[in-house]
Amino acid sequence: MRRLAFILALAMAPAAAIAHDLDHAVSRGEAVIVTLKYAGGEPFSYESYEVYAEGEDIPTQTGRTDAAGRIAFVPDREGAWRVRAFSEDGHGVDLVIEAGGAAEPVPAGAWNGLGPWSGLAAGLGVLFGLFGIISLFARRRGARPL
Amino acid sequence: MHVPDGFIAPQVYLPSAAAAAGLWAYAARRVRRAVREAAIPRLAVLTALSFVLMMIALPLPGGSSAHAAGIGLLAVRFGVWTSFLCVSLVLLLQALILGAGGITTLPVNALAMGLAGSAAAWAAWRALRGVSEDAARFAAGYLGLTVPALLVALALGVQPLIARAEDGSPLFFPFGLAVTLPAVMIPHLLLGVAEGLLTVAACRLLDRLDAGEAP
Repeated sequence: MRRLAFILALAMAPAAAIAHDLDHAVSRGEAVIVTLKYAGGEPFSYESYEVYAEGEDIPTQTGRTDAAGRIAFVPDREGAWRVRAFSEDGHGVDLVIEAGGAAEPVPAGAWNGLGPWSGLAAGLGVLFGLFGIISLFARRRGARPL
Repeated sequence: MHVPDGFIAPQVYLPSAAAAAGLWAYAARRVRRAVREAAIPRLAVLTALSFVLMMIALPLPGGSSAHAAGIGLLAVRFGVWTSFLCVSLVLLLQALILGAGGITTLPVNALAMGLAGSAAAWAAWRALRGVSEDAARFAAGYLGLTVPALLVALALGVQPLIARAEDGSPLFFPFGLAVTLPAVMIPHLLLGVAEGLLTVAACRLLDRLDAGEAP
């Protein structure tokens, strides 16, 4: 009987060893994809990022952006997910993205902000307009009474 | 070089905001008295040039890129306080319109680029004017770019030291000085040459225009 128990124990030992290997499962689903690029169009590739669930201090996911400058994560709960990415010379983002809800409208992947040309036109327009207004006041201050 | 929101701890940007507000007010008082109405169009053009330069990312060897700034030019032609205000305005517009640079970090950017950059450029120009006007202008352009780059590299690099979570992980920016200093400085030390040359060329052009206008 004791021999049997011993043999059984030996037989179980590999099962315990197998338990230390990893199981895996592959599925497809929807991810939140954040694409980052510099103003000139170059992708923000291979830079560090962190993804935080709402209210968490420890990131849910960290890694490096892919060759196309993308971060992909699959939110496991609804809320305000925080995505931070940084390069060594100080470029990066700190975004809050509402995600994880069941029936979520998927934004069409629009880029934030104006493109470089619109941004240039807008900035120059504001600058020259501001200085024009300033010069109006300057002129008024210097006007001689009639 | 513009630091985005979220990369600088409040321990740095709140005092910077207080300092910047006071300095902006002081600069505004000085500038109101000093800038002649006839100079405003030219000031507008140089400020616009600074805005355009900061939008252009010049690729550099090694895969990085940097922006020129036009700070030295503004400082040499209009003085430190006017340059400080105009560069701050450019940074504000870039943050609001282009999303380049943060709003909470605007005071940090403005102090580093607008004030320190202008002051360093103007000081170098004054110091070297006796030697050679061109050398003085080149130095102004060079320092007007590299001194802000150094300050931004320092501001970023100390973040892991001053703001940490309980487990020691950095809260705002993860790379220390050993990383940020070379990463930020090397591109700007190179690009500073172009900025210096640009400052010399622009000053010469403005001098010619001034001579043409004088009766």
